[in-house]
Amino acid sequence: MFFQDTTRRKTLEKWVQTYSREFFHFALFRLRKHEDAEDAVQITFVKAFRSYNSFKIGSSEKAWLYAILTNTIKDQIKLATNRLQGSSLDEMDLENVLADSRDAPDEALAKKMEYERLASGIASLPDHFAAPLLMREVSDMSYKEIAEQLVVPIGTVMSRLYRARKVLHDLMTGATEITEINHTATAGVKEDGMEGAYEM
Amino acid sequence: MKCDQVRALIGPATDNELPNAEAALVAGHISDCAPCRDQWDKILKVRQGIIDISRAQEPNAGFEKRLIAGVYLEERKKLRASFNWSVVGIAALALISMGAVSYINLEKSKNENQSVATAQPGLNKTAPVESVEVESLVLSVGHHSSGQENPAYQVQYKGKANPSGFSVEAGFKIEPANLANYVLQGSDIVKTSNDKTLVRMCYTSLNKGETDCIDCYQAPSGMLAFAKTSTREIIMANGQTARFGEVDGQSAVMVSDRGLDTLYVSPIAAKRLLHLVSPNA
Repeated sequence: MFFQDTTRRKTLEKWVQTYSREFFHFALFRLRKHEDAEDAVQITFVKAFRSYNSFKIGSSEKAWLYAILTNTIKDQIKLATNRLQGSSLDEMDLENVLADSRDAPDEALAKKMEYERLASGIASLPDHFAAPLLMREVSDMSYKEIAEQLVVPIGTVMSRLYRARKVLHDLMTGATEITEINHTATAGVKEDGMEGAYEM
Repeated sequence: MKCDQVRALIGPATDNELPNAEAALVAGHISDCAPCRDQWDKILKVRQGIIDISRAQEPNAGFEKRLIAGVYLEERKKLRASFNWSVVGIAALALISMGAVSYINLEKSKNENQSVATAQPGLNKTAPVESVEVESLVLSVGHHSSGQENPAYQVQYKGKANPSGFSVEAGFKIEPANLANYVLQGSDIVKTSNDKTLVRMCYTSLNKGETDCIDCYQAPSGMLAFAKTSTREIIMANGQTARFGEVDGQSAVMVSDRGLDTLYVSPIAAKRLLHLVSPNA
């Protein structure tokens, strides 16, 4: 019927098997809703399938697919104008995060609140901080891969990772508020590499 | 190694980005230095949080299959759209040619007879349609239809959100279908030129290799009507009645219940569709 081109079809199935779960988590941390994250991944594969001929054999399929995914997420965020106002904490259900936890109830509750703040923080980070963080922590990319993906020097990747982690840790522990996240993440940023000691 | 030097390396060390010798130096330092170990622990705390949250948030069942089916569905739509535009283009060319011929003839006739053509008002006006014809609906917006562009139907994609959520916009209470081994792929509001609103939900199979979807149209009772199709009425085990027939080469089953008309259309066999709609039929 459709897709007589079996190579293209097999490639799609391989991509879906390899990357769909990873892409889902990447998208979920930014979009916060299951439905939106699934839609973003769906759109990514539709675009990739349609642009299959523009994919250069021998180049990194992962990098190519990530470029499509990150652009798709940016578009989704633009569309959801009231994303931050709408991102109430129950949209990403964290009830089962602690299902297997051996923590005491009060500790479990504190951890849940920390995780809620962490999830809100990642969704609220500016793109240039969130992207390297998620590429590192969710997609397990090396600094070199992230630098190539974002077309920035490795030093910039390290600097952005440091900033993102710092602000997220401060959010988790209540040392900073979500409303201050943009200012805190970008304050005094030096993006020309690792200069001096970093103090979290 | 001094604390200043170590702190610049803690991030890369936690990310396994340091050569072994340097990583060992950092590890040695933080085992004896509480402030530097604290920096290390902070990074791990954020990482553990992301890992725990990811573990707790998995895609819904059948995600991969739905993704593949979704790509196929979008490709079908694209192919259909390009086919439709070809048809529209050909039709437009034909109309222009016919118009040109008519104009030439009219001018000729004017010159020959010196008569004035009088328009007949209302002759070309289509009579208002009270119900929505199943056949034209399926032909126009069905995912498996042979493709007949029809401006009478405007489709607004609503994504995969629970269709019940836009009952207010639709103007009636939407009840999503429950079809064994099928999942909702997308929902649309369909508006007709005679101000009717109905809903189309598309369900895709979770079975490997099955790419045929089931379109499920829902509208207030009495709105959907078979106009040309020869249908058969059956009484199902639960006492409901249903009509089934064939529309555009596909199986079609319509169930009217609790103030709703629900029409299922799919290329799958009629018997199977009927069984999915009513397992006890």
